[in-house]
Amino acid sequence: MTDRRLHDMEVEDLERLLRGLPRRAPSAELRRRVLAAGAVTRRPLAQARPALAAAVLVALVALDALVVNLQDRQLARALPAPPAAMVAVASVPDPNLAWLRELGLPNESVAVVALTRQAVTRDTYLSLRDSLLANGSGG
Amino acid sequence: METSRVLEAADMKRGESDVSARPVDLGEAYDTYAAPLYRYLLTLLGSEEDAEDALQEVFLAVGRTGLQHIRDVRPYLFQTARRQAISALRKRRRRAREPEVAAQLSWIDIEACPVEDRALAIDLGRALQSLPPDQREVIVLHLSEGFTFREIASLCGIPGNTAASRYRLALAKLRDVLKGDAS
Repeated sequence: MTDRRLHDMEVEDLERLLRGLPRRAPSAELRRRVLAAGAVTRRPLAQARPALAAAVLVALVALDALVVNLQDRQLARALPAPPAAMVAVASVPDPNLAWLRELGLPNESVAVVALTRQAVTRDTYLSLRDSLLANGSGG
Repeated sequence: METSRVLEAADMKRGESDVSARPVDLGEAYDTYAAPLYRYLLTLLGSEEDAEDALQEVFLAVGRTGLQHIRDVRPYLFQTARRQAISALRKRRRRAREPEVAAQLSWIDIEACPVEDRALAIDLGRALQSLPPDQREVIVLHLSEGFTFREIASLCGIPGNTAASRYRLALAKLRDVLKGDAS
């Protein structure tokens, strides 16, 4: 048996009644639980940024090297590779490449990457090659 | 026809201005939207435990993806909640567990009602939960959460007229249930 006020209620009255009744809300305990779980799974952008930046940097370097490789493939085949010993001690031509070292790459890799970056144009590449050979270790 | 015009007018008056500012973090998003989402989930699922789990899943998704890229936060969150509810109902069906039908499992806070209205609120809650889920859904969205029929239609993937007629049908059925209980 329902409350007698509901027996012959018109639809409009029913709507008004339903709108006016107090509404439930989730408990404070659920709020605590959800936010705690959210904090564990969430990776704020501020935390993700350093890893993301390093990944982007490495990807850019790889892309750069690939482009250079494609552009100068024939030239690179014709050129004698600089001796490993020289590459190891070659000073980085571009001082702005210090960030490469900060990534933890070995010196040799820094030099090779620097070489590749400098070789973006044919002239720069040849100039660098000449410079390396003129120092007496190439060939 | 007359009822339809009244409903449309109510839509114009209520829902269109109900656009909230974008919350900046998970806590703010929770404080703004958890209560309406909880009532919606509770009404759909008829189980406090399932509604709490689904609500948690909604906000974990928010925590993972953020809301910065979302243009309309409220419809997005209700859409996410709806998917969670459908998924929970499927799991329940697989476990062959019957939904609980109890007055306390509607959106009405019976404890907060004045003592003289509690019996009435219990009857209403029980009658609401006896409706089919799609009818419960339009009732809770329109009456409790102030969704327009256009918004309900968009959320449920149905035409606007269907949302309005489903609502009218649900109210009529609710009234019949209450009358039937009386006889």
